Amino acid sequence: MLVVITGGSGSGKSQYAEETAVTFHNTRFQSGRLYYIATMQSFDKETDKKIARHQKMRKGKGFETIECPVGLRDLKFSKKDVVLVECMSNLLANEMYAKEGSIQSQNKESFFLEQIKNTIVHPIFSLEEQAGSVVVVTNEVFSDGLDYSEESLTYIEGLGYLNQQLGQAADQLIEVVCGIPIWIKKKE
Amino acid sequence: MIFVVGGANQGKKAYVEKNFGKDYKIIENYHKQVEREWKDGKSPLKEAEKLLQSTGKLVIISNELGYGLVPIDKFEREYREINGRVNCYLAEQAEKVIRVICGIGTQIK
Repeated sequence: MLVVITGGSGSGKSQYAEETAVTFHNTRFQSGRLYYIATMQSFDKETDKKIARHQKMRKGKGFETIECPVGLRDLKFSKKDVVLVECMSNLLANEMYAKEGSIQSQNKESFFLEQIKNTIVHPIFSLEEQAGSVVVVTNEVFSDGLDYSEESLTYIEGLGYLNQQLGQAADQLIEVVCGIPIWIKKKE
Repeated sequence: MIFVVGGANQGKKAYVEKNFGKDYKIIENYHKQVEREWKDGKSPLKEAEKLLQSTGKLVIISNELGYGLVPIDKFEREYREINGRVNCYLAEQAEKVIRVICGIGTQIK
């Protein structure tokens, strides 16, 4: 099962996603393991603080953390596992801008989107086939004017494409607003 | 307390005036207060806690700010994040939360 959780910055989406993953683990997949795929890289004090805040929030909930700033396709899980991946906005930025990343944004549009599909979308689908349940966190970055640089606009387009692909495939799609879940899609 | 949230220029105030009118004390643009507090080195979360200790029927209106790319400016970035956290807190404490989009309010709590 694929659950996609989206929301703005500071919306409480991470906390909600953690609660969702823990609930799946406790109710349906108790014999499996609970994983947290962390994508944020440490560059400076501010990212360290963000990472520390998330670590503190996760503490005691039973997550095993796997650091995965790029290269989602290399991960393997079993049918009883619950996997939380946080988050698509970081992962896409890393794949586009980090040295180890494999998405070239300066390529023509169709190829850019194709790379997103191969590097992120398909690996998420593959996680879903392997694991009992996959919870993916993404980000709404699409409603705050569009007076951005061309590079940023390309990123926004990429994340929009990625979100649409995941949303289409999702069994549940939830937007978190001020900590409150709003169901956009719910397959029974 | 009733918490009304939404993007800029979505008709939040008109919605509140129409639906809650005279019976409530209305605090609008609460995000601007969060911005001032953050600028003055205060904790907007603690200030929000203090505010809610006051009694009486209260409507708080605030903007949702976190729906774009992460700002380059440090203050903007932090303010936007803390405003989101304050909104989460107010929503948690509120008896009702209404989100207004295109002038239409939806009760989400």
